[in-house]
Amino acid sequence: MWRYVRLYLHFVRFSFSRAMEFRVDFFFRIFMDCLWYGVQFAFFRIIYLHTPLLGGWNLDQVIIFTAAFILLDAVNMTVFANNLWWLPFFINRGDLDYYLVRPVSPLYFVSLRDFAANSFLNLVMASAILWWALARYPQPLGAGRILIFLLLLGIGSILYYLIDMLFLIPTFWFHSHMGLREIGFQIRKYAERPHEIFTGWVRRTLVSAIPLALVASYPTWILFNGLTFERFAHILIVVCALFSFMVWFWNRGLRAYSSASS
Amino acid sequence: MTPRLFLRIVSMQVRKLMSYRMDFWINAVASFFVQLGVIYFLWQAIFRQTGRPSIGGYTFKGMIVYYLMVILLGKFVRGADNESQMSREIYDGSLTRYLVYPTRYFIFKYGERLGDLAPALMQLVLFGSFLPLFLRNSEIEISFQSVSMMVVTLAIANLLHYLLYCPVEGIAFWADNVWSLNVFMRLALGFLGGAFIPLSLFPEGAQRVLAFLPFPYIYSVPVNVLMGKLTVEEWLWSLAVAGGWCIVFGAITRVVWRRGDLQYTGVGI
Repeated sequence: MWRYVRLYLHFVRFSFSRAMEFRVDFFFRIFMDCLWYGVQFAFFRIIYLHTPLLGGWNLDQVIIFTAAFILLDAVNMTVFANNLWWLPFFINRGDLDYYLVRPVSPLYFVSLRDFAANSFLNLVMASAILWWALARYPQPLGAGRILIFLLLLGIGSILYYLIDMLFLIPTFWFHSHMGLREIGFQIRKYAERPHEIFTGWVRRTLVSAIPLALVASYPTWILFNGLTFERFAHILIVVCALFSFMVWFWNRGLRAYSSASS
Repeated sequence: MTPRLFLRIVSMQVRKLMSYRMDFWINAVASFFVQLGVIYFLWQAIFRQTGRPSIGGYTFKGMIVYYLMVILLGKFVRGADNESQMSREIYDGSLTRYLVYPTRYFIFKYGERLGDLAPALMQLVLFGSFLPLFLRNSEIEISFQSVSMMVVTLAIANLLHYLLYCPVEGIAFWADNVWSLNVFMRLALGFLGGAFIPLSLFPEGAQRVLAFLPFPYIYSVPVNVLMGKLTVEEWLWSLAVAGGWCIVFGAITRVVWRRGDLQYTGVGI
């Protein structure tokens, strides 16, 4: 376990020195993420010019939800996104070989090797935005609820990574540079909207099989409505099931891997 | 460049794009329905909440048709989303090989871009077949005239989109990686171009300012032209503004690439 923690600290150190080599990109990326944050808030601001509620939430509640999703995305961009972007290319070009022969878990290596130092600054900004969103909420939320909310967002970021992986692992069989990346990219939009707007089987899917509602919307809903044992158990079961499935799927993919170029 | 060579470039690009047929179609079909699903539920919730028959000049059916068209026509405007190809070629030095080709770089690239439109056309035919479902009992009338006007608008929108990205890509002569700037552009075009929310829902002041900027001519105007929401006079005005921006960005591209050429060293060849 400690070996993996030490290894991760090395990854972080390498990533910071690499980021400093491409300074212009470092600032471009901060600039880009700031625009994305602005667009997220502006989107709901415009929607709320035409409706008082969305999925039962008022503007103040949606601002917290948006800030939560922004924080989650910043975590994803900092910790996982760079790594997952390259995964289909590694599989296709046979570069995955380099990770298979190392004395650490290949899944750990390909998922966490590249820590995006330039997004780390955005992670700090996103945390400040969430703090601002919580502070401006007109009613008291309570420290306990906020702590649970943050814990659930942590679980949400793991779910986000797991869902991303499910759309990239098919590259082992498809042999293209895309895998199902495009679908994965589009499907994330379900996590960017309050889950209460979805109805029927779509909502059931979003809280179970493809649990995008549990990423940010459900934690925000729990922040306003409280956490019960059933709700916590539900989240825990979904995370464990999805993690087990992803690891199984990854291992199946590795078996299908034929090291294309070596 | 001869028209024959230009067509050859277009057909080469079509074949390249269709080489991974299975995942191309899985991605295309699934992401279409996934995208439309989010939009459907979002606007269903809003219309149900407000109880109003129309918002920003669109009924619920009209809103779905608007987004459906943004998805399908947007593919014609954006091509295969290969914006970062030019900057990559500058970075890895493969730009050098175009210098010995018997053609100009930008015309070659535009030919490739037109080749990118073939899959978009197939998707338009496939997914456009859902359109009558939404047009029945709706206020939208798609006529021969609106389709003809839309084709012209779309051609200009495609060129404008290409020219908007060229100077951004040219920054790669000085900065190694411009991927973030491309994403920045895509976000700005999507939001201010009306792909995320119809521009008629924006505050009026913002709408007036946007009308003079290049953004609405990428998504909003082509779709509204097709939906018959623009008069012929408004359409001609939109073509003039979009054409003007094409000239402006063409000139900026020229300056950026001429200066960049002096920086280029073809490292990696």
